[in-house]
Order: sequence, then structure tokens, then C-alpha cells
Amino acid sequence: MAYEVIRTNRTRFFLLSLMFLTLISLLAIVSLSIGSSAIPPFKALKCLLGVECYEPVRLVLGFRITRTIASILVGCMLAVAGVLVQGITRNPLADPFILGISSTALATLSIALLIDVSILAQRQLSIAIALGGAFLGYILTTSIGVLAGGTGFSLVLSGIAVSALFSGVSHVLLYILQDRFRHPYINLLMGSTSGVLERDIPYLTVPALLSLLALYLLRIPKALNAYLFGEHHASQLGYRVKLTTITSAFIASLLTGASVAVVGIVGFIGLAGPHISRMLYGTSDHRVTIVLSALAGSALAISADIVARLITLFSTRGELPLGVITSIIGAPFLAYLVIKGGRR
Amino acid sequence: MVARNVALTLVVALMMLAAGFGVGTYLAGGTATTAIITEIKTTTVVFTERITELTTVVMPEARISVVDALGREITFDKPPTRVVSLAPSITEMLFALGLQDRIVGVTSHCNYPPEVQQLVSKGDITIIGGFWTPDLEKIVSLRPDLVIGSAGTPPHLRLKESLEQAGIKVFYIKATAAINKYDVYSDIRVLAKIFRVEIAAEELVNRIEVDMEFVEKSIPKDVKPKVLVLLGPPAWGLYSAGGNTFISWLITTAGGVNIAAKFTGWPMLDYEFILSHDPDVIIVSAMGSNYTILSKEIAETPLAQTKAFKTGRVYLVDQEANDILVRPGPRLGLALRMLASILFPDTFGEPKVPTVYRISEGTDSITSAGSTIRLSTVGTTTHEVVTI
Repeated sequence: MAYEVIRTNRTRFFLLSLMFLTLISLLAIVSLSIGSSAIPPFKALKCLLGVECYEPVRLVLGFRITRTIASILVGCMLAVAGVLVQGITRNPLADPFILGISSTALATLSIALLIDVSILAQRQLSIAIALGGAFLGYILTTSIGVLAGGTGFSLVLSGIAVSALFSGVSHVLLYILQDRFRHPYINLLMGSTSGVLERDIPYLTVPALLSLLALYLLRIPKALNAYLFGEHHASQLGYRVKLTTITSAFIASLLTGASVAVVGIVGFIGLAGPHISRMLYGTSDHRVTIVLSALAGSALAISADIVARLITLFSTRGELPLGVITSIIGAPFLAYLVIKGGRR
Repeated sequence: MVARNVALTLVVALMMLAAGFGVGTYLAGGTATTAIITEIKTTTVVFTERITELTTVVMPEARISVVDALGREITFDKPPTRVVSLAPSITEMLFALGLQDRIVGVTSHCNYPPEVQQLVSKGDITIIGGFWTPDLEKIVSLRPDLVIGSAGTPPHLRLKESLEQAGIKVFYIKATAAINKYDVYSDIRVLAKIFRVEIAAEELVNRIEVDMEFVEKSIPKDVKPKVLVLLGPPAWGLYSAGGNTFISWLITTAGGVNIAAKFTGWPMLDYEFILSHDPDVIIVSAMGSNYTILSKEIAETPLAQTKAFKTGRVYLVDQEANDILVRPGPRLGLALRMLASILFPDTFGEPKVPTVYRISEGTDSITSAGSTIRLSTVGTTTHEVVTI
């Protein structure tokens, strides 16, 4: 490549990945050894290492493993979706929810609940419905975006329109619903891994694997690198701009939709994950930043999940939503990187 | 230069951490509040009576002022005649005090006593919206001289200014913010003060007290079952009731232990917390969802690993039963009796309220009264609702 910006640096990449992997493994161990039950951490570790394992510990460890896996996957998925959305829109402020997926998912779920309250009791069904809603949102956003010219810019604007419309609609629906349930239901789709079950995990792994596979098979990272210099430039280099935009948006929607359906809306990761990886790596080569963002997002999500559980242990409140915690943990680090990057 | 950079970044990072911590603790609602509130015996309502000595005797409708749950002193020249109730428990109290002819507006959730619905269909009482969604215009158009709201319900508090602007008196009682029987009693007494029906109030309080004592004296003292309350199906999120809630007080009074008592408000739990406390009894608010589907779903969650599920002591409460449990009102004695029979069916018999369902494993039929949802075996899809 002829451009300075996307010069690769293999050593740095491997070092950074190694660092992130170590960090994630350490966090995972911490995450597996603490939780809301009073099991001493070393007992949990013993059980994990297979030294000695009693039935209640094994059971509890099972939940912790599920939560840990879910948070790692969600962090990774949202961060990758963030890279894609920021890439196609060339806007550093874009996050995966800008495509309007979460609000259509919420609206669809509320409509479904209005039709049959029993859906509330069926986790698998509500996950499927939310996923369907996210997909509808993608179709809507893309069709408006394509009608408006199919550029990244038009996609963002149509995403904003769709999300504004549907968050309005879903709030109206929730207003009606809250009256029917006799409880204030502001918590629908609030991000938390506390209710994730083992059988929900495939809803995360399958989209994550498929998307990563599709990304690299379709050579989207390279195309996004060309995007950095504008869509004209990319088409001059022989990339099919519209197609790449739509495919990337689709992959981003799939990733976001799946994580919203299973865990709920978790903010900040999709925005900050890509920035953290770019700043640490030094350039915006998407072939690298996608991987690094995934790792950074996972680390962020898993630490947020740990903090959420610690708060339950030491306060009189129950668990807090993940999105609140991700920003509290991630923002200082991001600020540090911004200062460091600005000085260079 | 490098040192300055490092120092600067450190300072910024520290500041952001501090800010983050501040926001965090703010959101966490303060870290060091006491966890369990069992009984608070102080009543915060103060009556101040300004009656001149002579008029007390000759004028029964003297000017009185009463302090409401927000600490505001409100003066009444005469007992109100057109009243709007913003909460089902307030409606229940007004009816229990014999004040039904004063009520002009209730919420769509006010369904007890059954007379309410008759009066609504006859047109004597108007629906002014839902409990969470009261409609200001409808309230104003009824020209009430008093609106009674719940101090624990934000939409009611938001109505204050606009109602006062319209020249309508609004009075708050604890209602949904009540956390024990003393709060309920003081609510009843305050209402009685306003309407000058103190004797009826004392009778009502006595009746509730007798009801409660009747249950309380039979509660076994040697065992204290651990209880988990879930607000809504588990798929919705594991929301439970903290130690400072009415339902938690009911559980404690009925001889149980609320496993979420260390929290406040309506905390979200996780399966690890529930399993490590291994509740003996689980009470799930069904929120109108299909009981068979809900039972099947519960059987598939980790809740099936609890002692409660294994011994067939998961109860679904819906509609009437749910109302009784969550409304701090005149049906307090009934609520206690229902919970006592859920916690100690051997002593009190199965719950008599028709909308309490018990999920049970195995095909052996349950001989006691009440309705049972039987799961023939865990994991299979055939479930049936059996009403005995």
C-alpha cells in the first residue's frame, strides 16, 4: 500500500493482541471467581481447575461461565459492528445503534407483547422476535439509504430517521404496556447478562462467527481501508461502493441485533472499542483494527460485567445495567488515549 | 516534558475516575444505607388541629388542617365531597371507610371492591386513566374538590403543580410507598381525619389488626422458609422485592425470610444469587401471561434447580392474588393469610384465593384446595392446569 496511514506493523499487532488476550484471560478468571453468592474465590478457582468440585459450586460456576462468555461475545460483536459502521460512514461518532436496529427491535418486541403478554414468559421467543425486529430495522434503514443514493452518509441519515421514529413508537407502546402490567416497565432491553441462559449462547456465537467469516471472505476490511479516502477514491480503486456499504451494514446489523436480542442495549462499547484499538495500534488499517477492536470490546464488556456483580455484592441495589458501567470504566481510558494521541 | 505529560494524563484520568465513581455511587443510590428494615413504628403524620374553643362544640365541620405524606399542611374547611382516587389501594381504603358516595373518579386499575366497577358502569364514577398514567384533563373536568395520590408514585407527584394551578386540592398519602402495617394504618387515619370519619377508621384498623393477629399467632416459629419474590416471568429479568418494600414486610410477618432483603427497592438479581440462597418458596407474579407457558418456562430455567421447584413450592400469583399482595390497603389481613398459607400450607391449608397457582412436578394429584399446574415430568411439553 502506498499510504502511510495503513502501513501495517506486524510486531505491534501481535504484541497488542497478546496483551489483550492476556488481559481478557485474567479478567475471565476474575469474572469466574466472583459473583453474588458467598462462595470464596479460591473454591471457585479450585473447581475451575478441576482440583475439587462440590455440587453447588459447580452449579454456580456454570452460571458464571455463561455470563462471562456472553459478555465477551457481546463486547466483541458490538465493537466489530462499531468499526464497520464508523468505517462505512467515515464518522468517528457513529456507533452500531445509529442504524436504528435497537429501536426497531424494541418496537417489535413491544408490539408482540401488546398482542400476547405470554411472550414475556418465553425467553427464546422474545429473543427471536427482537432479532426479527432488528432485521426489519436493517431492511428499512438500507432501503431508505439506497433510495437516497446508497452512500455511507445517506445510510447514517436514514438510520437516524428510523431510530428516531421507532424509539418514539416504542416509547408510546411501552407507555401503554406499563399501564397494562401495572408496573413501570422502563427496563425492556436494558443491557444485562444476569438473565442469560446457557441455551441463549448460540444466538451470540453463530452470528459472531458467521460475521467474522463473511468479513474476511468478502475482503471488507481492505475495501474499508479504501473508504478512508472517500467513496470516489474507493470506486476508482475498483471497489463496489454501494455493495460494500450495504454488506457491511448488514453484518453490523446482524452483530448488533443478536447482542441486543440476547443481552439488551449496551452503549459505549461500539463507540469506544474501535477508537481504543486505532489509538493503540496507531493507524486505521481495518484488517487489524477489526481484530483489535473485538478484543478491546471484549475486555471492556467483561470488566463492566465484573463491576456490575461487585456492585451487587457491596451495595443495597441489585445489578446495574451494563451500558452505564461500560462508559464509567472505558471513558477514562479513552480520554487517556485521546490525550496521548493528541500530543503525538 | 515527559513527566508533565504523564502528570497531566494521570490528573485527567484520576478526575474522570472520581467523576465516574461519583456517578456510579449516585446511580447505586448511596452505598452505605442499612439493608434490612423490618418494622418502623414511628408514624410520620402529624395532626394539627386549629379549632377555636367555642366552635368545636357547635360546629362539627370545623376547619382542620392535616399534614400529608409530603409534609405539606393542607387545610380543609369542610369534608370534601367530590374526590378522585389515583390508586387502587386508595380506592379500597375510601370504600372501606364507607366514603364511596364521595368518589367521582378512580383509575382503570381500581377493581376492588366489586362495587367500584358497578358504579363505573352506572356512570357514577369516571375512570381518569391508569394508575401510572392519570389523565390531568379528565381529572380537572370532574371538578373534584380533592385528589388523593400516592407519594410513592412519580406520575402522581408530577400532577401536583398542574392540579394546584387548576385550583384543585391534592393530598398525598403513603399508599404504594407504605412499607408496613403502621404506614397503612396512618394512611387510613389521615383519610379519616379529612372526611371526619375517625370512628369508622378506628373500627377498620381494629378489624385489620384482629385479622392479622389471628394469622400471626398460628404461624410456626421454629422454621423460617426462605422466599424469593419475582416480579414478572424470569425471562423478563429477575426483578425482586428489596427489604424496604411492603411485600417483603409481609413475608417477614408471615414467618418467612425474603432472600433479597439486603437490597432496597426493586433490585435485579441473577441466577447465581438465587441458587446460592436456594429458596424454599418462590412466588412469581404472572402478569397476565399464560400459566402453562410460564410454568414450562420456569421448569427450563435454573429456577428448576431450587429446593422450591423440586418440592413443588413455586407459586404463580395473578390478578386478584397479585393485587392483594402488592396493595398496602384494607385487605392487609387477607394478604397475610394468603402468604401464610403459601409459606405454611400444613398449618393454614392451601391458599383460598382463586388466582394462586402452584407448579408441581409429577403426576400425583394434589389433594388440598387451590389450583395446581402439573408438570408431568420436567422438560416434557405436556402441562396441564388443574383446578381442584
